Amino acid sequence: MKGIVFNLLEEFVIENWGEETYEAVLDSAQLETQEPFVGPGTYPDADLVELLVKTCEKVGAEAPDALRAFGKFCFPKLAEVGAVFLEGHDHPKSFLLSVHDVIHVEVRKLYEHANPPEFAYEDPGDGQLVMAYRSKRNLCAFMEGLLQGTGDFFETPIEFKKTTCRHDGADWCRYELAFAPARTAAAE
Amino acid sequence: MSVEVLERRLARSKAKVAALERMIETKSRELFVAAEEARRAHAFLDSVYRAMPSALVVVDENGSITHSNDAADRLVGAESLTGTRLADLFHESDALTEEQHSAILAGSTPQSERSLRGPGDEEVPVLFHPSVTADEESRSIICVFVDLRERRELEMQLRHAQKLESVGQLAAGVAHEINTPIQFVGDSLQFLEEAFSDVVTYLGVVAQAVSGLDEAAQEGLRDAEEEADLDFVREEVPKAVQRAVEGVDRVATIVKAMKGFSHPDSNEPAAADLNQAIEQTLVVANSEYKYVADVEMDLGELPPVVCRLGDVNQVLLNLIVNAAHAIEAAREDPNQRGKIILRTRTEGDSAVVEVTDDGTGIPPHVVEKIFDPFFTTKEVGKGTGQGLAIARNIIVDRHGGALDVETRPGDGSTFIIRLPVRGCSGGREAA
Repeated sequence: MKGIVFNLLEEFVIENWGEETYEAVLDSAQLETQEPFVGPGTYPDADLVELLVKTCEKVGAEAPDALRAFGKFCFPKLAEVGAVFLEGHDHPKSFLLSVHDVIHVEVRKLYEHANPPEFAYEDPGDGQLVMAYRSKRNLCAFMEGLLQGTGDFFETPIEFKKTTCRHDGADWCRYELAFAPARTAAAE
Repeated sequence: MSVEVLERRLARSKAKVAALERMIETKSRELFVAAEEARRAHAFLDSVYRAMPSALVVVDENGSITHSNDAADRLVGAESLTGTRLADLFHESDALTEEQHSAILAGSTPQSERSLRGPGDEEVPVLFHPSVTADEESRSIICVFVDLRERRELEMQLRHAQKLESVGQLAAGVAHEINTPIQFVGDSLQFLEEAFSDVVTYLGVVAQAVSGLDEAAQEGLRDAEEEADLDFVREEVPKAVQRAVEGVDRVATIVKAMKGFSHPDSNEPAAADLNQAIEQTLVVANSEYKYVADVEMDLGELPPVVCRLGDVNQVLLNLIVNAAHAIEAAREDPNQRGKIILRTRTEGDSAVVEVTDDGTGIPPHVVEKIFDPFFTTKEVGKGTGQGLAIARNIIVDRHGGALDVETRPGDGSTFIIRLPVRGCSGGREAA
């Protein structure tokens, strides 16, 4: 997992529960990494899972809910860092369709050891998208949070229905997405 | 936030900075190494591209040349082809049509023979091979042009050589065919000579018997004798038969020499009389030198020389014909005659044959190339440039001998053949 996600987790915990909580999470976590997390670095997935688990213990949250909230928190931060990937997209559907074939391809070029999740798509028509997620990290709840963050960013709420899940033994987590009509200046 | 937390954050921030610095240093080193490798790869590819003997140009999607190697610039006589349109490279006699241009840019054109516009609007035949290369950002067409001029020249000379070979074979066949009728003619002439001698004897007897006939019969016989000009016939017929016999002998000699020249008993190494081979070759080559040169022979005692006689005959013929041509080229007056001298001698274990002419001689800048295959100073159709190359191959490679030349422009040349008397035992045989 790239270091930027660890740094965002730090921000997320501090912003929601304060510095003391984050220090407590660090103190209690059994991490493989002995040095501080820096953005360009690559660290074991297990360390992120450990920090998330300890955070949930400290704040009394359920892991899936915490992951969704974290995902929603991350999107605008990631959009700021990777603004170039948002250029030319004025709707979440076109942006989501570019994640696998454009964004993750560029990520692999920039970061030699990056291992982003796989996405597959079906396009039933305007206002809809079927998006499937697959990763050995199984962070589908985090992905759902990112979806919500995407909708917020483009001011186009996304409703999604999950039809299969890797946690239930499926090969993919499959989501049927519906995009609310875009808000216009007149509607505002 | 407590002081302790602040201190921990500060410590972590410092550690992050240190970690980032190490990362930057590592990345910088990797970048430097990658840049060096890229520079070396680029330099290598650039040197390959420049050193290629074939012309190579890179064309963009609009048909404009973006890169050209040195061979391409030389081929069309340009300082640089960058910016030139691909279509402008082609000679007007083989102009690129719009359809062909589009097909090339689409990458659907196979290799083909075309004509480019060379320096001075010269038509340059080339083998044209376009191929498309594309990356994520752009598409280019790599065009390779292989200059076909040398190949065409060689093909023409080969066709000429093949034609001469056919003519040679034909001549050998004709010689063989002439042989039998010439024998008939010779035999018939001999018969006529003998028969006429008998007739003359008979006429002598008749002349003695005439005095016993009456006057009218005698006068009739005298008139008939005068009518037939019998005295003239008695004197001239034997001479005419003799001349015919000499002519037939001459034809038979030429036919025998040609047959011996083109079909020696065997072309395996065998002991041969080189002096006889020289005489035979002079007969065969007679028509080449008889109008321009006199031949002198200074043939020493030679032991039998183990050699492939057919090949050696070929070499002697080439040298004698070249000598005749050199003399013809040198003369200012059509009636002027030059001299070809053939000498033989032994030198240690070698038999030496020298062919000397008083023709043009060979300039220094030419003499170093005369044994190169296909090199000739004669115009097309007059020489294939193979004679001396073949001669060298035969004497040096196949017989382990030596073939040298001593020459001075304006004075003439001497070609010197040295052959080991005992032959070449597994020496430098040509494949």
